[in-house]
Amino acid sequence: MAAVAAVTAATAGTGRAVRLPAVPPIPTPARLVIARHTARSAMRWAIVWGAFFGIFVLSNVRVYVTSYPTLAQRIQAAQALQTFAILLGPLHHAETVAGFTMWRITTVCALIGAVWGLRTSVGLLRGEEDEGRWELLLAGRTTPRAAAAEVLLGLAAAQAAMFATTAVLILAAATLPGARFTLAGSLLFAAGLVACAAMFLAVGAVTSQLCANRGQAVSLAAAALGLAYAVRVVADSTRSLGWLRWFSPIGWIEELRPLRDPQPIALLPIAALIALCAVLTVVLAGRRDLNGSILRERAPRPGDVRWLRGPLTLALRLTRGGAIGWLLGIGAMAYIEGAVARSAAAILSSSPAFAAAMRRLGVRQGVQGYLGAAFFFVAVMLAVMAATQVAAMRDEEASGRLDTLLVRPVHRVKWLAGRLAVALGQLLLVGTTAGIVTWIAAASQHAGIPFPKLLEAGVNTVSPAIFVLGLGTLVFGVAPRVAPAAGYAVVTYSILVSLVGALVKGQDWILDTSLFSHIALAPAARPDWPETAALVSIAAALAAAGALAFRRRDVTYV
Amino acid sequence: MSSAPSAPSALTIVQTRGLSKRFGATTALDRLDLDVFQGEILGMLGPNGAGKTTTIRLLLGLIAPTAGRATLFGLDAWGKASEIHRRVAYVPGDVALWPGLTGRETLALLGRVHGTVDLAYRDQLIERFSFDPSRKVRTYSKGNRQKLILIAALMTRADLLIMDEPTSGLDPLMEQTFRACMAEAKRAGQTVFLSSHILSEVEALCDRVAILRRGRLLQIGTLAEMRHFSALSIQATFERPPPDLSAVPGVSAVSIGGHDGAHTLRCQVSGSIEPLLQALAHAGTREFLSAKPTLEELFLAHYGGGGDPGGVAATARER
Repeated sequence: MAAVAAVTAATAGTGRAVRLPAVPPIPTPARLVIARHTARSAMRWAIVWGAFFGIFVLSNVRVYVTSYPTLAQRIQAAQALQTFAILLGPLHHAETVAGFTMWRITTVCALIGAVWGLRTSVGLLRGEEDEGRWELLLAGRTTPRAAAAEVLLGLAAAQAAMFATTAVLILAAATLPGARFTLAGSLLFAAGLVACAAMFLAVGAVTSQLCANRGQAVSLAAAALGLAYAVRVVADSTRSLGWLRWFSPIGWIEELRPLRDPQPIALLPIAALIALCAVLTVVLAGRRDLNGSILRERAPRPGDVRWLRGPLTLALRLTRGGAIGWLLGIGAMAYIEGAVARSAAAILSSSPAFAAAMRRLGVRQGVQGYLGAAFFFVAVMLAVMAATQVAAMRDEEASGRLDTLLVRPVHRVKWLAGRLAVALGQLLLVGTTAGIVTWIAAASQHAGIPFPKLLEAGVNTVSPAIFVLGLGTLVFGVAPRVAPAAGYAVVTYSILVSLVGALVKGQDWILDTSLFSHIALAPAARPDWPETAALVSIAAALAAAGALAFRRRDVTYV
Repeated sequence: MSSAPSAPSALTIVQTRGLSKRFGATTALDRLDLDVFQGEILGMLGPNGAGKTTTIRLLLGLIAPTAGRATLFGLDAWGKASEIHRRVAYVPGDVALWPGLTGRETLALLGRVHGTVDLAYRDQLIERFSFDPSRKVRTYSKGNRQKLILIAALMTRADLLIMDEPTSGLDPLMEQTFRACMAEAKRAGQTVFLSSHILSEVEALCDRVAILRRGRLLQIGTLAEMRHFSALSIQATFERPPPDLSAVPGVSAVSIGGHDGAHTLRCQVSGSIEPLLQALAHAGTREFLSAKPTLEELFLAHYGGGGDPGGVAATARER
């Protein structure tokens, strides 16, 4: 038998059929290789975020019970957080640990989970395909449908791990004194917190089939998330529109109300959406070519290359799509807020304690108070946008595309300055547009707020984003690999500090470390221009230091 | 600032002295001394990880040397990068372009960024490489991307062309076109620095060859010079088993095979061939072939696969 190879080799070229030596099968034939690979890739962050959700619940329960033992204190604390009403939705049963915890945590976790979900599934489906790794897998013993189904299975495994992590930590929170969560309630709560991640994993899987590349697939899924969120905001702004919640995935999570009068029936649309998306993904995966898309990509227009003149116009062109997305998203958000401001403010000011709390903060009430909170949320979104701009800058370098420019007569610092100028321009454009659009919508409802006030409020939202851009540039210059993470980290940190810090008494310095503590709640309060100038100056200094460091370092891919 | 120790002669386009680059504990390039003269095509050969791309990135000022310096046109590669790049065109081996731009947009952009473009030549190149510029870069195959970046480099008619494995992904027909373009560039007086591991390409195009391994320059010279230093390849056939040649001076890499009753001997000889001829005088030689080594064989002599690469390397270093 050992001579087979030699014999067949010797017959080569003699016209006789050549039999290649048999390759022995590997000892353990791997099943579900793709599913395992996917699960491994998604698992780490699934567990990290699952743990984050659980720890968020634990810390929230603990702080609430120990710092606010009496009912009066609890109502006061809840009202201090009303600036987040836009973000979090309406507050029911603030006086109970369960009611307060659900309100504080659900929407935040839903949004984080949704963003994680859509980025993860698009990355592991369309991203792998863009990088050419998908075709390596499809060259094996599988079909596009089977491979897509395996990826979904792998994502489901990661999702199960996320649920388990969150559930264990919530069950731990349930044992804290004063928590009084039931077992079923805790499990339903955990399911609600991770449900948005699961739904947008599934949505991202579908958009990965519909679109021609990763960027488009993420954008389409993000647009779906934005729509879901906008519907929720409208539903919560007016009592008579409450039924709209049933048309938004984020609304379903709200309707679960796991810890107080639970409605497990809301799990039904959640499960239905996931199942529908999974089936669509598998069906569509078999209906298209590799690297193809279901939605037809528009053919490139020939000709006009006049305005593509150099690095600056290139930066404009490359970031155009993303900027338009942010402009539409934040613009739509601002329009909705402006349109609902009057009715929403009426709901808020029906609570005299809230009115008193707002007065103490030096904040005007009514429509302007509500819009102050709305613009706060715009500032948060703009800061996230700035973090994506930093990440895009680094991606240009890591992909090697920056080389293509720098091997030509392009000065590094000029390139960087161009990118920053474009980023800054886009942030200012989106911020002022938010102000203008809010004014248009508010004016249509006869809210009676002067145009300059809202324009000013729009500009006022930009400074934390500028700071993120400056800090991100510094990190890009010094440690390029971690620049994207640094941008997102400082934004996440600031959001959390603003959320948690409002509860911690006598520790104002912690609150001061949040970027969002350094802008006034315009139009509810007068913009603090000196403070804005300080923030922008620091950002400029950081960016200059970053540019200096970038001039001195190697261009690196990894 | 402008304390050039020895001003390079007007004919030296690229000069490196003690050029070194370390990444952490790894030394990617170790004290490279190299001159590229105007109008020549210098080929740089080496296996993966030899330091070819590091050398090129240093020349382009994308990374800073840990020690030593490189000058292009008498200007410091690191400090004066964007000035130097007015006169340089670069073709990378791994092309990174903007997937959302079309071929035409990319060419327009890169031409404008460079500053000078021979438009007629550009259109001629598009024709000769049979390149379709109307599609988006995302949809191009590797070969098409390579064509795009080649056209972008050649259309500038830059004084110095730096190419890092420029034909990877091109089909043989397009490779011929590329070689024709290189010949044109040489006739026009352009200087070319070409890194490659396609030996036939270097053999066909280059005036001089530098061989790099593990960050060190092993040998540099014209092909004629390198042949002089290296072994002759021998193939001989015998009617009976050939004698033992292991003691014959200068002979190495002996292998014996054969079929149909003949015995075939392959070996290499360095230095005089006389001792070998004497040893085979009465061995019943039926056939005796000797050939100058191809670049392939030169390369194998340096990187293993017969002979004593360490010995050759040591010889090269001593010179």
